[in-house]
Amino acid sequence: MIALEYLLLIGLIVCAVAANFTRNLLPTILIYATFGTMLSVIWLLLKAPDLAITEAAVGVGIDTILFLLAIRSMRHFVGTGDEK
Amino acid sequence: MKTPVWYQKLLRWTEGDSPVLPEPAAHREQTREPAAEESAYESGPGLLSASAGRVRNVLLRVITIASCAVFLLIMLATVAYLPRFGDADNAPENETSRRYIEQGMQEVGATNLVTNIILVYRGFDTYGESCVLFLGATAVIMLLAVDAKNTTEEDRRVLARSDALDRENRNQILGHITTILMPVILLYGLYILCNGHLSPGGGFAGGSILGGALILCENGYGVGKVHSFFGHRIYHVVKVGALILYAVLICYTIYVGANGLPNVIPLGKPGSILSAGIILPINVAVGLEVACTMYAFYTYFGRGDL
Repeated sequence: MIALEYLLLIGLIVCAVAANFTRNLLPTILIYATFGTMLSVIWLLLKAPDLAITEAAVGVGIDTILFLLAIRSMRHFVGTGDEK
Repeated sequence: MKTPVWYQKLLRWTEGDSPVLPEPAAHREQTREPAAEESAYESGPGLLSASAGRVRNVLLRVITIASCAVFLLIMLATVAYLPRFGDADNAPENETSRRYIEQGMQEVGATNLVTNIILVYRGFDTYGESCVLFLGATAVIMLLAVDAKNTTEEDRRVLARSDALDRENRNQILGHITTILMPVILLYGLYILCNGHLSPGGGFAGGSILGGALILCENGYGVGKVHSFFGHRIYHVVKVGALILYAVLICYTIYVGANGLPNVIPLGKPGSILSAGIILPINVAVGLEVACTMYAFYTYFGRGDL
């Protein structure tokens, strides 16, 4: 279990750095969602299930939807009806 | 000597040069500088201004990195002062938390101590949070709502065309998946909502899941499906009604508790679904409020209408 915790913590740092250095917006959002998922598992391991559920629902679900909506409003998706 | 790729990336990042903001870094910096310095800067010879610009770039970079480092050190120093995680001696004199843990279930009635604290002991804070959500959704509606005054004929035509495109090119896979997933998500959201006083979860998480289910319905079944059963009138009635219900319950609890009056709301048997007095209705109210807010955020950011 300790090994899993360390793996998740390292993954958090990797995701946090990678989200900054990714040049495309869609992978950035997906990396951010990965970050939230790992964080919610860490909350669960730290015996904070309330926080884990909220992080999974709000941090991963709703935030990702709103971010995707934002880059859709920027006419970001090439090759779809959203392209400017 | 060739600089490594990651260093070049770092430099580009610190200069704020990214593909989504294609304007050059130098231009961005100039707009931030005061005008007097800029004119003196431009009147000088070309060579001097180029080297001065380079010096300034380096200076800005050093300042950025230094301020980041200082901030990081302050935060790490703060973390070092925190008590060790899981230490038995943590906050031994804190009688508030001991009271919450020892007497919470008898006084409030919920087996989930976190819900006891959030919704009853600290109910006023959570009520403020709900008001913030309400105000946020109201501000979004005021700013982004599409009506006759802020749209042109062109905007309406574009919106109608994109809706028609949506209807023609309905994504069959998404529709079928939505049909399968929708009842499960709704049931899970309601479970989390109504079991907030017994198990982890509660109004905020359950409401987010319900809002996500509404958003999925809107995407899977096409624009206008949710609107057919969740129009403006129902939206406003549910949202305002939930907030008023929450306000009435929390005001009653605070009034009764502060004056030492007997509370007429029965606490019930801890562990059963109809227990814990005001917590269950408050959870439902918060959940409806949050679901409405999430769905309103989505639709008003996307289409400018419910």
